[in-house]
Amino acid sequence: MHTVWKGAISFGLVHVPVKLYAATESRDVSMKLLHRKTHAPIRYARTCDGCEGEVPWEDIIKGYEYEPGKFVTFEKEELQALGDEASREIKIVDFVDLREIDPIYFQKTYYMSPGDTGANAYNLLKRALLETGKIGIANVTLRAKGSLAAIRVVDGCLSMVTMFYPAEIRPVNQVPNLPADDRVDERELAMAKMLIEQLSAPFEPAKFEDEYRKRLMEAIEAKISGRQVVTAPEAPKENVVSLMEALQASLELARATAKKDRERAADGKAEKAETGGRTSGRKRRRAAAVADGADTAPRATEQPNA
Amino acid sequence: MDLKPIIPFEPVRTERVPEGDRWIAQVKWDGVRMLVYHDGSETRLINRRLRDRTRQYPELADPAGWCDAGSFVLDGEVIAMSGGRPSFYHVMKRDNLRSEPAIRRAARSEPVTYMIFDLLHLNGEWMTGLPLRERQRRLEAIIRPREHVQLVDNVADGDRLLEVMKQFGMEGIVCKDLDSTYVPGGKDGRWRKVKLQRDLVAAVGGLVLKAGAVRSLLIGLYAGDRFLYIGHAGTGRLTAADWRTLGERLLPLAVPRRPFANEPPRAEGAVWVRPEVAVKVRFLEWTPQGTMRHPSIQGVVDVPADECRFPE
Repeated sequence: MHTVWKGAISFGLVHVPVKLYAATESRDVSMKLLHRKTHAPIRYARTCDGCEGEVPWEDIIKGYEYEPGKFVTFEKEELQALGDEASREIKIVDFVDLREIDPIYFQKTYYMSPGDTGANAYNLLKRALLETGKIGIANVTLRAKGSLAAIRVVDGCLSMVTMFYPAEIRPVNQVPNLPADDRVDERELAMAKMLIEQLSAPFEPAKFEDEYRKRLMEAIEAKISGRQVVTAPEAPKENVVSLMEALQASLELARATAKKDRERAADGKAEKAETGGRTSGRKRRRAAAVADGADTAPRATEQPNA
Repeated sequence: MDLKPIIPFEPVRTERVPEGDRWIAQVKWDGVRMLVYHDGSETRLINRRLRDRTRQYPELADPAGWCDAGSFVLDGEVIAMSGGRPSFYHVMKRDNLRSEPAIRRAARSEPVTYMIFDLLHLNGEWMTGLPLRERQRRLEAIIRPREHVQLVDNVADGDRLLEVMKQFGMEGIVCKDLDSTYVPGGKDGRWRKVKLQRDLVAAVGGLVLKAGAVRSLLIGLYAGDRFLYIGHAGTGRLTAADWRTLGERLLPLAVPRRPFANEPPRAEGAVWVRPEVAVKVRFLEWTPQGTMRHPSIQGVVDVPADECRFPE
């Protein structure tokens, strides 16, 4: 796990340095977008409406459109500076009971480990939360975004769940077609309750798995083994053959240059014979004949292919 | 298998390319030395330490497609390409895989190439007593090169090849006497390597941890039975996941006392371990203090620690 954030929890006068790690990970099967015709991967380009050119990241800033077509701009540093003071602190404001919070508020969970110093304070907060059965509600700024957070203990590890602010949660009265009248048939209700009773079980998350992912992985394996594989057009190949060819080309270039130098020096000495049994690729057979002279016999007769 | 595995011949190190018509030079492909044995029915890949690696490289397990001989033993180097060059790190990654599905996947996504340079046995007869030029001629007659199987080329002018190796940032060359025979388990001047980069296999004697993760390794070599510190080595080619695995392997070897006979600098808070795990390290040069300058770890290798000795 790698650290996604470093800072400290504070409550009252207690200060707990912590590091954050993502507690969950997406197991989506990642697919690339391809052009149907060529099977080459699709590339996204950031282009500018003003000059039609592609824009490198270092030339990109952020702008807030306060009225159509009018912006106030921010450099990255400006935005960072806004968050800076508060952004290294998880400030616990209240301690509440977990049951008081509706699950709709919860976003993403992070595990926390003690910072470089602070194992004691970490243990203290953990024990205190466990023994009181409370969770801490805090304000936190992660990646230039403020959010509410709950500090609680998961499996002996302090953890933090980011939460939506109430303003981010839509009221149910915006849901269309909610019946105003919630009367039901008493006998039907009794049957539904009986059904629930029968299907009631302790929560065992391990028995659930992502069926879609499983089917997708099977389909992928089947396509690979059935060779229904499409390949992107010749990307610059990094195989051995092209390296061997490049080496050979350099050798020949070196040889040509060396020869020219020798001719210029005009020392009249006979050029050294090629001693190599084999050189490379297409030239291999010819080179072998030159090098080994008289004892080059046709291979087929010399070496029966058993 | 009917063929008895042998230990491959090793070149000696030299600084100068030997001169004379008997000598040819070959690219020193940076990978894992591997002999392929085929006795007519069974094929085995066996490394220099006589360990079976057949499972590891399924792409080489069926030689019928690229070798026309009833039985044979080939000598060569298994390499993996990355960034257009052979990468020792990537081939070690393949060599260290254990699970069958992971091996199958890697054989597709990061295939290796077998660079063949010698033929030791052919159709029931050992070829080791023949001169190299004869072995090469027979080798060439039976191998049909393809994507994952190549013959290592001979180059007449070793100096030129060395120059090209320098341009390409590759490891070096091996010069071989065309008249020489092959001695299983031998090592002498009939093969001579000229290397452009320094590297060695050293044993880990300590580690520096930061935030519970391995940060750097303290490594050493044996001189007689004294284990001497030769440097701290940082991440090199290893990924965070590699370091974690390395940490899991090293921590159970922890010992209370420093295993090095000399005192390493910057060793406050180091965890000492029994020297058992060997790593391949590349470095720039030796410092006057006998430590490595700019060492970086290329991979964990399967070599007993007491064989990690100062180069002659």
